[in-house]
This record gives sequence, C-alpha cells and structure tokens, in this order.
Amino acid sequence: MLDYLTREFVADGWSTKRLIRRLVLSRTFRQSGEVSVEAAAVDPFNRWLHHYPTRRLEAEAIRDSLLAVSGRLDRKLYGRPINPQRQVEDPGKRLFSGPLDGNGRRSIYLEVSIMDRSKFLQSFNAPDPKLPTGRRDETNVPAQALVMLNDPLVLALADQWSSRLLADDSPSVEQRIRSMFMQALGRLPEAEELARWATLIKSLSTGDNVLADRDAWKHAAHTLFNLQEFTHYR
Amino acid sequence: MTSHFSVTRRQLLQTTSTGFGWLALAGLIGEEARAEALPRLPKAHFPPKVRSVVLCFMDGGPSHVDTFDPKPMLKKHEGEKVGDQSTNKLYSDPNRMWLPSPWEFRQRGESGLWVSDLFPHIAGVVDEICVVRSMVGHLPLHGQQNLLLHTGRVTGQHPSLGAWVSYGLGTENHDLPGYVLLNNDWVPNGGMENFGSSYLPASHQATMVRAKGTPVDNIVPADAANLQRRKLALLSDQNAAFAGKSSDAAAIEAAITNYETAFRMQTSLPDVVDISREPAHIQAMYGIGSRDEHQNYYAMQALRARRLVEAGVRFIEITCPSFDGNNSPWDQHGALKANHEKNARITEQSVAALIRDLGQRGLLEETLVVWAGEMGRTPHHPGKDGRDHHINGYSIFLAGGGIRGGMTYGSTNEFGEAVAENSVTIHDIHATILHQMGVDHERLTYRHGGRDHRLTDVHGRILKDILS
Repeated sequence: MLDYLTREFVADGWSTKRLIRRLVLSRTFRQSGEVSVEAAAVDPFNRWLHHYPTRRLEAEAIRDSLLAVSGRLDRKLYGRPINPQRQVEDPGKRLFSGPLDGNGRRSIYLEVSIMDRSKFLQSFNAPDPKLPTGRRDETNVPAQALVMLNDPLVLALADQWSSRLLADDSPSVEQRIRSMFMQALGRLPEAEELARWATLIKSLSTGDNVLADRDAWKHAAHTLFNLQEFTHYR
Repeated sequence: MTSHFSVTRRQLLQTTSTGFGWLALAGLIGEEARAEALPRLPKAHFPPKVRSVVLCFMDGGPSHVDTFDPKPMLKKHEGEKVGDQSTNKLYSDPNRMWLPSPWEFRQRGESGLWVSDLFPHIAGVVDEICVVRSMVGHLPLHGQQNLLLHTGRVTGQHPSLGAWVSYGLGTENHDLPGYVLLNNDWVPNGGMENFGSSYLPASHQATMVRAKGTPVDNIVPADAANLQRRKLALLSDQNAAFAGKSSDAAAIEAAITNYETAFRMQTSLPDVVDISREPAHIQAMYGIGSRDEHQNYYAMQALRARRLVEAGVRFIEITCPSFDGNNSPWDQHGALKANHEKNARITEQSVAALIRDLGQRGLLEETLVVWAGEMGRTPHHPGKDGRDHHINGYSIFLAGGGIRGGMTYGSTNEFGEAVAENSVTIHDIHATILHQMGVDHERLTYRHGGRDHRLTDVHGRILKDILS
C-alpha cells in the first residue's frame, strides 16, 4: 500500500494536497465507527480497519464546533490573529487579552504565545507550541468536564445558541429538540431521547410558553454541548 | 523502464549506501521490544520517605552572600576593586568592587548554622534545614535558570519536576490534581512552561491556584447544585447509550466518571484552599493579615500548601509576587537593601511557619520543603547597593523529608564567588528529591520523539551525605 501511495504521490506531481485528498476520500478513512458483530468476531482488535475507532475532536475543533453550532462562527478567511481572553494582561511580555469568543473567529486564528497559551485549547491537549508534536496525546480528565460545565465561553455560546433557537419557528418543543440534534450531532433523536430531553426542558421552564423560555433552552443547549457525542467522532 | 521511485520501500532501505536502512530498522524493532519489556512502573521503585514536596521558589535569585553564606572577606576588602582576585569570567570588569553584606550574620539554633538578619524567622528553624551552598547553574539568565530549575533543561521544552512527580507517582487524592501551583499573580521568566507537562500527558501539568480572586479556573459551578445534578443525570443516560454504540466504550465510560469527579471537585478543591476556618494563631504564624498585601497573599498560599499536603497532593509550588514593576522579584541589581528586605518580609515568615506547622503536625518527616531561587548574586558590583546574576556557587535549602537538619553541604571560596567544594547541580537536587519519593531518577522515563527521556537527562547524583 505504501508503495502504491508513493507511486501515486509522485505521479500526482508530488502534491501533498492531492495525497491528503486521496487518503481522506478513501473508503477506509470514511468508515463509520459502528462495529458490526460479524467483523468484531473475526477481527476484534480492528487490525484490518473494518471501522473507524471512536475518537475525540481536537481542541480547536471542539471550540470551532461550539462556535458553529451556536451560530457565532465567523467563516471569514485570513486576517489578523486574535488574542485569547486573559485574566491578567502583561504588556512587558506582550500578553494582551481578547474577546471571550474571539469574535467568533476559528481557533486557527487565535494567537499562540509560548508564554501563556489558551487555557481552553490546552485543556483539550493542544500541544506545547515549542515542541514538535507528531501525535497529540488525548487525555480524558475531570478538568475537561469542569471546562465544559463551567467555562464562561461554553456558557456564553450556549446562551447564544438559545437566542437563535427562540427565533426559529418550531411549532413544538419536540420539533425544536429534533432541530438541535440535527445541528449539534447531525442526526435525529430516538424516541426515548426525545422524551428525555423534552422532560428536562419542560421541567426547567418556569412560564407557560416553554418555546419562549430562553433560560430553559440555554440549559438544554449547555447540556447538549456536554454530551460525549458532541466532542467525539463515531 | 523503471523509474527511480518505483523501487519498493524495502528495496530502498536495503540498497541505500552501506545499508543504513537495515540498521535503522533493526534499531527500531529493538526499541519497540525494549519498550514492551520495560513497562512504566505504576508504583514507587523503592519504599518512599516523602509523600509530598513543597517548592518555595524564590524567583529572581536571592543573594547567597546575604542569606546563608557569610563572607567576612567581603568586609575586609570592602570597596576594593576585584582585579585579578576575581575568578568570574562573565563580569571581567576589574573595576567592580567587593561588596560586603548589609546584614549581620549570626549562628543560630543548636546546630549553629549561619543565617543573616535578613531571615529572622527562618533563623528560628535552622535545625530543620540543610543549606546547600555550592549550587552551580548553566547560564546566568532568569528564563534559562528558571527552566533549568523546573525542567532540568535551560531550553525548557521538557516536563516540569512537578509533572514528573505526578506522572511517576500519581495522585493520592483523586478529587485533587497531583501538581498544584500556588501563584501570586506573576508568571516567572520562562513562562508557564516552567510548570507544564510538555510531552507528558496534559493531566500532569500544574493546576494553578491564584492568591487573588477565584482561586481555580472553572471551579465555581455555573449552575445551582440541583440544576447541575439534573443536567448530569441526563448526560449520564445519554453518554451511557453513546458508550454502548461507540467502538471505545472504555473512554466514554471514563468520561462519565470524570463528570462525577468534576462535580465533587467543585466542592473539594475550594474546601482545601479555604483557609478561613484555620485558627487565628495559625493564620498569624504564617503572616496572614499583614498590612503588606503581598505578604498577606504569600502567607495565604503557604497555609494552603500545608492543607494541600494534608490532602495528599504530591507536588506543590509557591511562587513569589512581583512588585514595583521588578523584572523578577529577587532580582536586585539595584536597591539591594530595600528590596531584598521587602522580599524577605513577604516570604520568609511564611516559609518558616510552614516548616514549623508541618513539624508540629508530624508531617515534616514525610514532606520535603525546598527553598530555592534560580541563581545567586555576585559578591561584587560597580555600585554599592546591588548585585548581579551569579551561578557558580549559590545557596538553596531543603527541610524535612528525610533530610539532615542543621547542616550545610558544599562551600564557596572565601569571597563567595565560586564553588570551593562539592559542587551540586539542579540535576542532583532533582535526583535527590525523586529518591526521597521512592523514585529512581534513571528509571522514571517517558518515550517521546523516538527515545526515552528523563527529568535528569544524562545527569543526576543523589546527595547521600545530606540524607538522615
């Protein structure tokens, strides 16, 4: 296979872009994470790549997904880098603070300082910028749960999403939940899930009109951001 | 026609000049086999003496000839040009003058250890401390020496000592991190890299507890407890179903557990760092309530350090606050008298109180307190009230943790300008700290970039002479 890829790479005029495209368009790469019983019986350790193993999104992709789903993402290409938000500025080290949501800019536009890295990205294993890192480590620690539960960025974007949800024309709580699932997870909820979320939202709502209760939808949005399914490929 | 690039990878490796490919491949296979044969030891290599380490980092470089290393010769030759007497290649200016200490030295405690009047409180616990007077650094620059002290390399790019300890020994308390940094709103030169995990998993980097404001990021629950619990209940159901469908159920299940731990951490961590219920006399002993804002914060952090030790945190570091726009706190190129006194007032009472408090609670034997700057200061200066960077013979001290108290180790020459005997490197200190924690510094390794790395690189010697 390596020989084949090498020959194709050379034939393609040494274009790494085309090589990457060839790889990511392959059937192997595009497999789902669902494991068939038959395949698991024959190859339990997935040596022959019959599924794509479940894996967490990279730090930048988690932040970008939050921006995208909440509707805050600015898709503009290029431009000046933007400072991450900092508690304390230190002009002597050229460490300045930027807006909480980075004005909706993708994580690739966040300015990286080796003196003080973005804490959000760091907690999801964005590597030390001074180190050549071939493969990122992928820790799974309580501090990440604390970020998703309490970080001001996650809360602000949940609020942002709720304002958009309130403006949609969903005729029912259930319909809006379906729409949230499609936006955040790319699939529709199963009946059991639909009931579970509807119960939560209705119980959180204080007024008569659940569909207009921004707080209830904000909490629902926040909870959805905290799903493992939101931060993992499957 | 066969193009050059249609050879197979194997053919290429075989035919490349002198067959280096085979050698490399053999090396790779050998390495993999070795990695298999030597799994990381999850437990201590041998029975530990020390459970926790507290590093009191004296950022900026306190002067050794004004604290723990008396030099009467400086008084004798006061104001004389150093001339050829100086051995220091860096400060070759022969017009620099010998500068005696503005503080008197006295012998203290039963051991008679010399401490200057700069440290009246530390003078009260000298029988617990071992002063190493012969520290040698690599480069007389703050960033480089800070990184050397913390990571064992002047270039940084390697895990911090605290991260290695956390990686090697894990945490005793699963609701708390293994490495806690008690910071005083000042990032030392070298940056946060001093406290990072580098190539070790990110969970081993320092968790920063601030003196002012909210002590820890994201620790204050955004929701009321009952609301948060309802969210978590729903998450638990959803995540369990997701785990069942994913190909790596274990990772998702671990994340479910993490949410439960995180929920508890929101109360456990603030509880541990909450010093408000400490008795008044203990608070006063540390210096809490001082009119000097910086001393008050430092004292709070030192008392938190003791509470973190009790809670089972492996490695705790306290940094110094910066004031008056100093480059770094102890860096007195000028205003030596005023600002060394200010730094001393901010820190030394709390450090002494920490040693005393740990002792009174029977914790000092299993807790190693390390007091260290990244360098010392020159015994000479072109002026009369300042000292410059100095790395060839400076003082640090260790207390508790199976270290012999009331002793000095190593010495500098009669001017305090160069090591005279038993030079000690940071690697030796690292090796000794790990040794006391039951870890062999040569066997605590992590594979990165194709080879095994260790905190002490290819250096490190355990200072057996200072162990009790």
